Amino acid sequence: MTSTDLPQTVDNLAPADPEIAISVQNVSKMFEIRTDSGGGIKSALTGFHRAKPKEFWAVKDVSVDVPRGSMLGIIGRNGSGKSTLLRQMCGIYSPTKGRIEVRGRITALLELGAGFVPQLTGRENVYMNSAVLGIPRERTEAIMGEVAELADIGDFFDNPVETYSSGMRARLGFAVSVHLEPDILLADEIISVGDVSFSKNGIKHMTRMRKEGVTIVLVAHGLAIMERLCDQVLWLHAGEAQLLGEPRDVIREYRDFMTMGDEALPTEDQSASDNPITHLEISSDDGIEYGYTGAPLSVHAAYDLPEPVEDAHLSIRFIAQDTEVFLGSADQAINQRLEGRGTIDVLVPILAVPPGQYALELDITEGTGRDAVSIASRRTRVPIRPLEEITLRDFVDLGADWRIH
Amino acid sequence: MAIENPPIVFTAASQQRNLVDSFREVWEYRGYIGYLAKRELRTNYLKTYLGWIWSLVEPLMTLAIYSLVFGYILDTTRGAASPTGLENFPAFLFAALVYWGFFRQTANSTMVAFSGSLNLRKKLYFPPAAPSIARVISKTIEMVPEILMLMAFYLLLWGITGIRTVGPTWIIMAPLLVLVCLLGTGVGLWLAVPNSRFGDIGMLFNVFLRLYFYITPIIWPLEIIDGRITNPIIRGIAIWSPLTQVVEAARDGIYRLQWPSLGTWLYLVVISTGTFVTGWIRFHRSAGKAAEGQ
Repeated sequence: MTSTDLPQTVDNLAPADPEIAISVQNVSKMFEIRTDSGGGIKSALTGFHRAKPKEFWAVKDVSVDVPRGSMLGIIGRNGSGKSTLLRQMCGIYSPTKGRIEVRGRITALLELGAGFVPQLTGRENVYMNSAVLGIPRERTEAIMGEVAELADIGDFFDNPVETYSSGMRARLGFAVSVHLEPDILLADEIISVGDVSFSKNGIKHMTRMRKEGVTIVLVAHGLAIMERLCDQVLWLHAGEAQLLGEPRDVIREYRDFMTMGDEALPTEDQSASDNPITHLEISSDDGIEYGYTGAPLSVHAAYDLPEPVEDAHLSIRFIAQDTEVFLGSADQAINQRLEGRGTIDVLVPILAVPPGQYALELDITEGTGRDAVSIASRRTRVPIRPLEEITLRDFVDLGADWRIH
Repeated sequence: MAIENPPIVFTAASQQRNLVDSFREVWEYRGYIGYLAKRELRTNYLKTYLGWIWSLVEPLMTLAIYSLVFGYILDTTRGAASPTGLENFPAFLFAALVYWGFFRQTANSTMVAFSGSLNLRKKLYFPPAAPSIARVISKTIEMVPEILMLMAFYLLLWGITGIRTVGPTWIIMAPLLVLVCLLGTGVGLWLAVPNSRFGDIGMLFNVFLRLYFYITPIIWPLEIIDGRITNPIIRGIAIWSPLTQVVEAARDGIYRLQWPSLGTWLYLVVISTGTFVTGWIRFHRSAGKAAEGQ
């Protein structure tokens, strides 16, 4: 049941095992990036400036089998091809190479409430949404009560969706989706939407569907959830299958990678040797390579810039490895040129970051805001530990001064 | 519990659908298409006080302007006489305008609905033709009040002139509507994918339509062509273009109360279904790619 022997080449494709719900076989997806988008028909007719479309391979030769009733998690950084792969599984994109076989009725949830019509009421939108997901009207009528209950939006259910808050919209979208009873559920980031209780609800229903034998493919950032629910996890990096296997193993490797930065993989443009930031480390008071919550933290870095940088800006931030949530950013603008070799020292007086595994990232950009051009970026792994009694459960230590009378 | 159905296979060619598969898929999504059409009808005039009445304002206004300029000021009415003895330019014009307007609307709706759906198509799977079909359905339903208005107008004329203006040939209105719908949608399907890439296509099409409007005998009777137009190309277009045949068939049935010739019907059936089927095939060859943003 859980055998996941992958076909190695397109040629040895045996008729897929009926116990395999989704069989992804050597799938690649290429997009043509047109650089002359402003030219329109004029350049198409005249042939002037017709730059050759640039090829971008969003997914490269990925193979994975999802046995019926099992759950596959797909992880990877933003832009690693997760969503593109998911969209190919439900037919929105077609593979440029390779093939995908799907057995069973698919429900794809790429965005909660996608296709909701603002002018129609919640109830009408439920009908409409069910219709596009292939649910017969009688079935929708039968589940309408449950949907309304789960959405928990009260009288708004019969108001136009344009009067909803974004949270209500998401709740309604989710409520529809969990009552669809598909054979296969493809879900992109849906449980990370909304508040905590809503996410919990999402996990609860996903677990229920899993028990009922629904095959699930889930793209999410929440690694802990992935580890708990999935049978196998696929890690995509720059469109390629970096690792496929037991959730525990894959997620551990992925965490290491996320905290170590890009040096671990030579696939990035900036390998360790030619990174203009030649060195990055933390130096706590006692010289140990940990950060302590609530204590000062010093960061030491060295740079060697091949070209001078006008209007250089520096920033550091911590990236929580579980969630890729960015924490803390100390910007230091330098309104002068930065050139050649030098060192950077940053002192964080009180580290208001909760204990955990983090990557510390140092960025050098030219300019700020939207015009910023990235010059260099380097990450290093920084475990942050609690200082004796301090137990911080939230993201940030507010350092609040409490007076209770 | 084994799933007996063969697997759905997605490959590089799977966005291209053959004729049978594409129709079957549209049929499977009929429920969704119905809701889309309902949405169109509901939301078009949502923020207006008069509501769907507005769908009558444009055709009536066009009728009034052309009647004033061409029927009254320029007096092109000679030749607009019906064998029934009725000689009324607005009635003569109305019968043709209804079908011209419907052609224009179906062609444009098909194009616009497709371009407008591409963003949603990245988040939700539906047959690429679904939004266009829904929009055409809503436009067809909007034709009902317009045709009722036409009928009321003719009844009024009967009352005023005493000449019978209503006859059994009126039933051709329905099949003619179907043929124009196929023709307009077919043209729209041919242009929808190119238009989604180059918006210029839609612009060009509408410029072309304005020219085509005046070459087609809508505001002028086809009979006057003999004395005036000698250029064989313009003559050929004016007499044999599909819209001329549509307009003349409409006038035969509605205004002159005579049956359009069998030749006209054959011509229209071949042209309309031909345009639609080829447009449909062409559309489904490239719509999937266009929906991917390529």
